Formats: sequence, structure tokens, C-alpha cells
Amino acid sequence: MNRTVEPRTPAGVVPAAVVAGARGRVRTRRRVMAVARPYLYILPTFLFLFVFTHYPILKTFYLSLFKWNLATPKMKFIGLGNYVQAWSTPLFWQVLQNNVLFAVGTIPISLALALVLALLINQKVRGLAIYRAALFYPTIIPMAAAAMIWLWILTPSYGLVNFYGKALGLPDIHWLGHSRFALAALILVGIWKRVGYYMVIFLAGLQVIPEHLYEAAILEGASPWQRFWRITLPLLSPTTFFVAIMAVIDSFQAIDQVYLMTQGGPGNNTNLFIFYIYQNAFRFFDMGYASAVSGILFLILLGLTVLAFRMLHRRVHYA
Amino acid sequence: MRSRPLWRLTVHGLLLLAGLVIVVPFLWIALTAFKERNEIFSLIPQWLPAHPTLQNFWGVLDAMPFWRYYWNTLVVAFGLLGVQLITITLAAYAFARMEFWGRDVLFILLLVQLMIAPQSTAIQNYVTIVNLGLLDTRLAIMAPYLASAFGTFLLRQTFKGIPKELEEAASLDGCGGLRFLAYIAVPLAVPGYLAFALVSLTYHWNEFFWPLVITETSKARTLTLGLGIFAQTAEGAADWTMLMAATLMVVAVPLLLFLVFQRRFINSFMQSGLGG
Amino acid sequence: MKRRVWILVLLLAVMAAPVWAATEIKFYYPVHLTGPLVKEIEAYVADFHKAHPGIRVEPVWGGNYWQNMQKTVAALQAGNPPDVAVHLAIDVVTLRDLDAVIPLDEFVQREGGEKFLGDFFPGFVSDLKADGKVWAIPFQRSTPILYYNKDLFRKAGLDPNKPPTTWDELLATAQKATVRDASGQATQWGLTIPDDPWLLMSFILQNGGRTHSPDFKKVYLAEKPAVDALQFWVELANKHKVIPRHRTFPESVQDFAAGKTAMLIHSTGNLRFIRDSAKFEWGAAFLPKNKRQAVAIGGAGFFIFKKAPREKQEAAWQFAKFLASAEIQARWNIGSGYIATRKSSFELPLMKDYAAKLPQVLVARDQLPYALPEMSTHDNQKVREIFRTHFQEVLDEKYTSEEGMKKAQAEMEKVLAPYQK
Repeated sequence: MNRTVEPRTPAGVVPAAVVAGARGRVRTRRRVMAVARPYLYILPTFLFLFVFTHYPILKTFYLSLFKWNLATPKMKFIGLGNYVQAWSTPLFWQVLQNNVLFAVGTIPISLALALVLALLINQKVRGLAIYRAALFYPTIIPMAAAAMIWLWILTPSYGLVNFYGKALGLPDIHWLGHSRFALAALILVGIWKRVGYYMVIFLAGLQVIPEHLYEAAILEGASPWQRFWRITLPLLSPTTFFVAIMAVIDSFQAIDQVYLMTQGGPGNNTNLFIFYIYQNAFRFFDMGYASAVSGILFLILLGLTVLAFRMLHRRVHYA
Repeated sequence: MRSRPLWRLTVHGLLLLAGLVIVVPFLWIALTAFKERNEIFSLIPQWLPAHPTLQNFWGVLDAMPFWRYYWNTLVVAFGLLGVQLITITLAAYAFARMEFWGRDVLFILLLVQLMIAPQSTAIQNYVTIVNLGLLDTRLAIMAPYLASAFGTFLLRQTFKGIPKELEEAASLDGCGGLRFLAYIAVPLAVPGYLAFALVSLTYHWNEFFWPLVITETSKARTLTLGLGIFAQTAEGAADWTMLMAATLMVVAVPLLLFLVFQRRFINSFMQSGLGG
Repeated sequence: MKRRVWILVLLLAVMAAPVWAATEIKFYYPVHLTGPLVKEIEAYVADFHKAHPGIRVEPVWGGNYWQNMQKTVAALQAGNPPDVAVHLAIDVVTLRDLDAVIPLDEFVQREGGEKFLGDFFPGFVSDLKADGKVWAIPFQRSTPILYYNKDLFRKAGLDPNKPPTTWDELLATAQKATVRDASGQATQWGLTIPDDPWLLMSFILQNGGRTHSPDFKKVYLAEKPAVDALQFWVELANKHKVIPRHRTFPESVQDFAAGKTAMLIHSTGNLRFIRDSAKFEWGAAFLPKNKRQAVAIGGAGFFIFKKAPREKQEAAWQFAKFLASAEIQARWNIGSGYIATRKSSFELPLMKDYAAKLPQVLVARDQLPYALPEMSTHDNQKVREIFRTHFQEVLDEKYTSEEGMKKAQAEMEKVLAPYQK
């Protein structure tokens, strides 16, 4: 591909100008190839990327400018009308609030637990592999399977939680059917599924903290507590921030648990962004409005991503 | 401090507690799968099945096209991985080692995929898939992932680490361009590929929502989706022993592989701090 | 190499030929209730293929009623609707607003018009009509009925042959049949009802209330009978604590089958599941009345889609007619519990034998004279979702029955505003 064919005719036979022209053509071809090559390499990726990522995003923003629903079956341009509608719909704010609660409930707790577990495992205890496997395996199984497991455990009357809850004097509650607990139950599943993964990320972070920093601190008489606050945490924090933001991005696109465990209910207490969009588009056929909500989601995700990459840069500077 | 027995006991105690909290739910469903249907309605929890039975597993095989789902899952996960390996290798190489106009902008456009997952664009992509005549096919399940920003990103880091001199020397020996890529760069990046492969296979084995939107019959449906659908069908709804048997059957092989190749898996997911 | 490809192409062509010759139709259908009903439907499709070799039906199970409608709406949006589908009777308005389906009068005329329709129970046809046209052929029709566990009745000292017939009796019976532990928590419920608006509608109707206007443009949830009906339900759950607050459709059936509840108000479509899984003596009865005897009809019909070419519409009609035939309807009633839609089904020996063995099966049919259409409006899915939301919030005591119904009414009026002309 990169080797070019040299002209075969001996130079003496063919007039010099022709040779020069041929050489020029070869050179041009070579130059064109040199310029085109990187684009050819990225072509397959960008072909798929455009069709399945860029185009749908653009189309979503385009459709968000139209009224297009059951009452208005012929698309009608309304500018930012759908965004205004979202702004004035209490349910939109409830969904946003649910999502923020879901992120705030899941991420700090699982990160904190993960950090503690990583610090414990980093003590090089015996049976480390077993502990690590036990904590990490939920990462490997599908969210759908995790949903099944927890549906069964949280089921009223004969679920495991209610069995032992009753022994502790707790009422027999339909956790996923109760407006005060349903979201908490989804959060619990999120923590259970994710904590091992975060732990492993923290382990990776802990292992690159240079040992000599700790040795120096010990010489200066710093207590383990001080060593944690002064060395471990600051050196881990760029990783933490970055992972946290990626986790928030994930949480804004969570749907499997909602779909399989609550369908957004009871009321709308577990209705999260993607489910809300899906509901409006496919169930209510309110395409314009669904697109506007998608557009808002994209903007939120964009903001979070920019933040994440700022953090990534900070981390690079640290190193 | 660290070697004090009391401290060590505390560490073990805490890890054991956490480990139990994470493992017990799975243990409970695994045991449920072997129970008879009426046994689960007792008022006191019975951990061990009184009359262990396999009838739930046979029931699942009877109620859903389990092997069909298995085959679809294998085709989707490995077929997709095959295509991804080609697309990410080429793109990562270009982004890592070539200078071209618009490179940085294009790279950012690539990273958009990390930010917006296919469940967020499912509606528009559904329309595209229908227009391409691919509704209810395995290819449709793979389509949004044929390009992988995560894989490209991961490999780019590896390719960037290859010294410039190595490429120049190889080029002088007539081993430039694609040959350099095939014979030198790719072999050097094997750990990166492995990490990507494990994460990609796990992700697509586990995926639920996009396959749900894009399939209509068991023709193309994958295992995880099959489980979710089974749970919602009349046959499966709230029939806990059978549902737990189905769950066990879906996670069994990946879980066994994980237990055997624990270190490999964990290292792969460590590297996937992005995108996993 | 090239030769081999050609042979392959030829082989494929030969294999595909019989399929080409047949008219293929795509059929979306829901299964909402518990039991092996997907297999039941697939068996009818197989029988249809035997009777009509020129038509191939591709059955696509789309989830429950709501999910199946989502599937159709998505397919319409992509310009790829099914040829024939089973959707709720209350989706008639939406499917017409989407301009998705055709009226079936022409086909009905060909089969004998009113004589053909006359064999169906009137309540099942009337809610599939609009603007004087027939938009669907009834299928998968149901009403709620009262299931009760005679063994648990005996244990509670109740007469196993006297199920409650009024709201007062319902409450009294439920109180007697509820078993509590030392801490006062119920270990066995007196009654279980899924917390879905469809079941609340029957209570509203029994209370002399109404839910919607016949032109599908208005709702009446803030009216007193509706508010009081909700209040009765809320008191059953939160004051008397004789029903669990939240149970889904499948959960509540499982609870009944497991003997965790003495009574169950649920669709007749579960009858087969209960028949097969209840290990105790059980009975079925009309829903108790209050100001009047009433019940909200549920269920669906076959719709044929506009976008399908003429010959597929013809094939779809053949298929719908086959599944709506007296014999298949009898089989469907036996196989599921959904009421056979035709009077003549009940004359068939098949059905007579079954009813002789299991008289409970006739309860739903005999209750039909008291059946009224369930709530149906424009933008029905949105309206129903609003209803469900506030109903569940009231059950969780976020606000009172009156506040809940007022909120629901106001939000529904907003959704329906564009349709008021």
C-alpha cells in the first residue's frame, strides 16, 4: 500500500519530459496517499460514529424545535416551545430531582465504601483474592440479573429483607412499591453493583502512590490518620473526581433497573431521565417534547464531560 | 501498627462483613433456584432447599428459547469484538502516530460516544435501523458499537508509547505503514487488546435496553434481554423459583470465567476507569 | 468459488419460494396476565396456518398491553407498523388520532353485518365503535371478578358459599379474614387488589360515578362518587389495614395462589392460572356493589393497519376472524380465563363440559350485563399515567383522596385541552 511502483521503462528510451511527468504523478500520488492515509484509517470508525452517534444527536436537537404529538400529528415548528414546556412541567423537575437524588445517593456512598474497602484490601491481608472476587463479582453480571436478584430479595412478605426486617421489628414493606423507599431501593442496588468496581479503581490509584512518601511521613512521626488525610486522599482525589463524574454520567443514563424493577413508579418516584424520554416518545408519542428532554440531557452530559476532562488534565499534570 | 493481631482481625472482620453483604444475595437466589415452588412462601426463611430439584431449570429451557439466546449472544459479543478490533486499531493508530488536519477536533468528536450512550439516542437509532431494514437482527444490536471511542482511546495510549525510533528503523527496513502496525504495534499492544476485549465482551453480554428496543422476536434476542423479557412475561412474572433459575443460567458462564481468570478481569476493568 | 455461490443462491431461492407465494402478515400482541398464554396464542397461529396455507402470520409478542402499544407506536414512527395487532379497546382513540388503522365495516358487511356482530356480547363491541364505525374485532376481553379462598373463609369462620355482595360486607369479610401477628402486622390479608386505575374504575362505577364523556374529551375524576370510591379504597388499606397498599398484577395473583390473601379482585383472565396453581378450594363471584352493581370492562381487540397493502389487510381480516371464531374463543376462555367474546362459544360442547366441571368460569359472563366501558380519552396513555401516579401517591398518603383526584383532574384537563372544539 505504501510502496509505490517505480517507472519500468529505462530513462534513455523515453523523452525526459515524459519521465518527469510520470515521476511527478507518482510523487503526487504518494503525496495524496500521505495526506489521505490517516483519514482512511479513521474512516470506518467515523462512518459508524456518524450514523449512530452524531446524526441521532443532531436529529434530536432538530426535532426538539417542533411540536409533534397526538394532538398535532403534522409537525409544526415552535422554536424553543418544547423547552419552555419542560421548564413549566412539574414532572420534568421531579425526574431531574429523582436523577440527582439517584446520583447523590449512589455515588458518594459507593465511593466512600469502595475507598475504605480498597484501603483494607491494600493491607495485603491473607485471602485477598477471595475478598476481592467476592466484592468485585457484581461488576461482571448484567444489571438485569442484579435487578432480578433484588426484586426477589425485596419482594413483600416472603423476601429476604422482610424476613429479617420483621425480626428487627420493621414493618412488612413493599419496598419497590412504596413512594418513600422505591428510589432508595434502586440506589441500594446501584451501590451493591458498583462498589467492587470503584474499589478496584482505588486499588489501582493506591498502588501508584510512592512508598517513600509514607516512609518520610512515618519518620516525621505522622499518625496513620494524618498519613491518610495528608498523602493518600490528596493523591487519590483527581482519580476520585474523574471516576465520580463518569459515574454521574452513567447514572443519568441508567434505565435497566428502572425498566425491570419499578417502571418509574410508584407515582413517578423512580422515573429517571431515559425512562421519561422513552415514555414520552414511545408511549405518549410526544416526539417533539421527548426530543427536547433528550436535548437537555445531552447538554447536562456535555457539561459533566467537560468537567471530567478538566479533571483528567489535572491528573496528568499531577503525574 | 499494621502487624498488630487486633488490627488484622479488624481488617478481616470488616472485609468479611462487606463480602457477605455482597455475596449473600447471590447465594440466596442460587439456593432459591433449587427449591420447589411452594417452599418459598414459608413464613420463616429456609436457606437450604428441603427437596432440591432441577425442575426449575428444565422449566426455563421449556419456557424460553435459551440456546437460541445463547447463540445470539455469542454471535453478537464476538462478532462485534471482531469488527471493533479492526476499527479501533486503525483509528487509534492514526490518532496516536499521524499528523493530520483536524485531528484534535475529530478526536473530540470521537469522544462524544463516551458521553452519550446508545440508550440516550435509542429513539433516533431505532428509526435508522428500520430504514436500513435491520430491525430484529443481530447486526442491529451491534450497530451502534461498531466504532468504539473507549477502545480507540485505550489503544491510542498504548500506541503513543511506542518509541518513534522503532518506527523509523522499521520503515527503513521496508516495514512501514500497515506492516508496521500489524507486525510491531499490534503485538506490543496485546495487553491493551485483552483489556478491551474482556470489557467489551462483558458489556455486550450484559446489555439490556438497546437490544430490547431493536428486537421483536427471539430471532435475534440475546441472553440478558431474554432474562428481562422472561421476567415480564406471564410465564415468568413473580414465579420466583423459575426466575432465579433463569438468572443463574444467564450469569453462570461469565461468573465461572471470572472466578478462574480473576486477575485478568480485574486488571482489564482497572484500565477501563473510563467507559466501563 | 463463484459456482458455489450461485448454487447457494439457487438453493436459497428454492427454499424461500413457498414463503414468497404466501401472504406474510406481522401480528403484534400483548399478554398482560399470568399463565402460559404466549404458547396458547402460538398454538392458534399454527392452527390458522393449517387452515389457511396461503397466509403466514409472524406473531410478535410485545409485552403487556402498554408495552405492546409502545411497540406499535415506535413502529408507526419508523413507518413500519404491523399489519394486524391486538390493542386495548381504550386505544381506539389514539390509534385513530395517529391515523394508523382502518374501519372494518366493509369486512363486517361481507360476513353478514349486524348478524355477524350480533353474536358478540354487546359490551365488547360497543367500545370498539366510534363515529358509527367498527374499528376492531373484540379479543382478550375481561372484567374484574372476586376470587376467594374457601379454605381460608372456613378458617375465619365465614360461610364459604357466601362471598360479600356489598361494600359493607366486603369490608367486614376482609376484616374477619385478615390474620395478624403479635405486633399487629398482617400475615394474611383479607383482600388484595392490584393498585392499578383499572380496578379503581369499577369502584367508581359501583359508587354511581362516571369516569369520562362518550366523546372522549372530558374526565370526571373530581366528582364526589369518584373521590368517595378512592376514599373507600384508601381506608381499606390505611385505616382498616385489610388490603396491602401496593401489589402489581402478577404479585397479587401469586399471593392468592400462595394462600397469602383470602380474597382477590383481579381480571378474569387469570382464571386459568388460579385453576392450575391454587391448592385449595376457591370460588368466584361478582364484584360487590354499592350504589349499583357495576364493573369496568377491560381488554382489547384486533386492529388492522392502514399502511398494510390491500392483500395483507385481507389476510389480516382472515386471521382476526379466525381468532374471533366461536371455537377459538371457547378454547381461549378455557386456556386463559378471558371471556369468550361470542354467545355461541358457550353453546359448544367443549365449553359446556368445561363449565360443568368449573362453574366459576361462568361468573364473568353472567356479570357482563353490569359491565360498563373503562375510562377512555384522547391521549389515553398520558391520561392513564396521570391517573396511576396520583392514585398511588394518595395510597402512600402524600395527599388526601380529594386533593389527589383534583390534581389528576386538573392535569388531565390540560392534556385534553387541545381536543376541546
